[in-house]
Amino acid sequence: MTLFVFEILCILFYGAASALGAFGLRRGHRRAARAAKGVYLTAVAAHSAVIGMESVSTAGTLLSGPNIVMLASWVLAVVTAVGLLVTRRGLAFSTVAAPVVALLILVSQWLRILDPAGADNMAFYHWPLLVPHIVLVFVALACFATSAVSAALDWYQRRLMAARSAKVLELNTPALDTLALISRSAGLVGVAVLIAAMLIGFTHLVALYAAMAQIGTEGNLGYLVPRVALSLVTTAVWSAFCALSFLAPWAASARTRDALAIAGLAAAVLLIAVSAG
Amino acid sequence: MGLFVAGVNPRRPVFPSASQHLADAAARRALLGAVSGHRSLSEGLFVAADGRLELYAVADEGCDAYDIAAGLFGAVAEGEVAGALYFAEGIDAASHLFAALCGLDEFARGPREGASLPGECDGLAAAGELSQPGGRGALGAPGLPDALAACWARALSEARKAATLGDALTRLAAAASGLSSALSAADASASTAALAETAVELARRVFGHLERRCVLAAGAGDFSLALAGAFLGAGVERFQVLGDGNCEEAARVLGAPVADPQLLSALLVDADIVLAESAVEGASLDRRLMKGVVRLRRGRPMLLVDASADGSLIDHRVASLDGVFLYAVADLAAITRDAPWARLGTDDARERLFADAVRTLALQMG
Repeated sequence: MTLFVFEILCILFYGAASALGAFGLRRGHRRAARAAKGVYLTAVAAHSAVIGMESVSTAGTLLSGPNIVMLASWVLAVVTAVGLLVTRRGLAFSTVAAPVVALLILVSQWLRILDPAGADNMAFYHWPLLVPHIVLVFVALACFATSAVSAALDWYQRRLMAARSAKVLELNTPALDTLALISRSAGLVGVAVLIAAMLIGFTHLVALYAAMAQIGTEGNLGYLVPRVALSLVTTAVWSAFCALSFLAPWAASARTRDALAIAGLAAAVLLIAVSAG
Repeated sequence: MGLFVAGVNPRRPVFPSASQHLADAAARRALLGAVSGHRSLSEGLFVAADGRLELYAVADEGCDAYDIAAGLFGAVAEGEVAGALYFAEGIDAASHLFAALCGLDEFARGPREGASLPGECDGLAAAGELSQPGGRGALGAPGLPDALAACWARALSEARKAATLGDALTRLAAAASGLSSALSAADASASTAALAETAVELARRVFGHLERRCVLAAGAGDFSLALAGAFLGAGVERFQVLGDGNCEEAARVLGAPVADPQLLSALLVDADIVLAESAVEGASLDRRLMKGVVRLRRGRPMLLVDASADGSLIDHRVASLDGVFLYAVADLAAITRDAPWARLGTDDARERLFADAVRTLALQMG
């Protein structure tokens, strides 16, 4: 269980380092950039501790599938940490590398679940994975709803201003700048939370499949296909929204981004409806 | 001097009949004839229109001007007139006319707002100048200021023809004329203040707080300077001035150096609000330029105000660019018409002009 907790902490630290690094780089925020470095190095330390504990528990590291992936993630993490300390562009690289390392850790756990003979990680079987999964999905939905409502208000207010209507002065809504900020920030948080929820959900799926394989039954997991597909569609729409909002705002008009946000909410609501059905 | 004003209270039952009778020019001529023939009146004119029936006249010292007025109005009204008149004499009569012209009296502010006396009546009562024996009505002058100016002009013309216009009423007419001119000029500047407030409110709808915004004044003139002043008052701290040599005053007022027109593109990337009033040599706000600026601004919105007289200084196609909001003066005026601040500055200016006009005439009257 301790190992499992450390692994979760690693993933969270890498995610936080990536988010702080992105914020620090984009806004030129020195404190965020320094915090990103600190959190990343902490994650690497925890990552090293996980590998050490695993090695001790198995009296050496077997170079099996899951362990190879885990070691590869550690090498990437260490190389990135060295670059972070030595080079000037290390922060940008670590911002991209950190989520990759986290994903590799997760993949190694999936492989471990599917290969119970290689290493025993019963935590995934005992831990109620569905609870955080569902909570995160609804948190993401709340973020998407906030983003879509802000986008709709932004769209309406822009229409009034383009028409030079006096009604725009009668509105009791935030300014256009504020609405756009709320929309894109909520969208970004929502997509990050949804991706986390999807990863947990996929982990649950892997654990479920492994459990079925272990007891020798062939379960039908086809009912999960629509959910997975809609999750991917929702993530794709919101990812496009975030990319257009943060990376290339000139590439699409504000109306297009607002429409994407509203479409993304519709996809998320459909996902909930299908999941509940 | 026995200048006085007596008017029929429009809220009394006798008003409609009197008003209907005096709507006819012949009836007014007959009444002026009665004024001319009255042994106690030396001058007189009638102001008669919808919602207003007033007699301005000069009576001999010692006679009861109120009774004279009641007698004159009684000849044209059906019913008891004596208790339906409002009355003032001396400088208060002039003050009554000036208040009505400035739209400061009870009826100009809004009809049927209760039975409270207008502000001028309080002042008159406090000065002890207002004669209000029992049964006499409240002082008030119904009708809009613009309509009053037209009625007053007609009344003067009719009095001149009837030879009932003397020195006192001529002096009063001159003061009223001067006040009307000053009111027109004040309204023009007040409307500029209202338009500037509209521009500030539009900027707030786009940007929210204006403290970190940058305003670029291109070809700054009086109007764009007024707009910039309004933004300065709203909290904007960063200004840029673009001009070709005639903008030193604007630069001094706004605390910003005059920028080279060659740097227009760079200035626009930084500017959130652009106020353009006149053309600047080498700097043209066309769609091609603005397209590049919008891209460099990475989606941040812009508010452009074309402060030129004909609204053709900034290319209209710029408004089709994403995040660019273009307003001409006509657009601001249309929005301001129904805005709560449409009369911004107007009331203060009118009160000031009213006080000045009363003081000046009082000095002339001695």
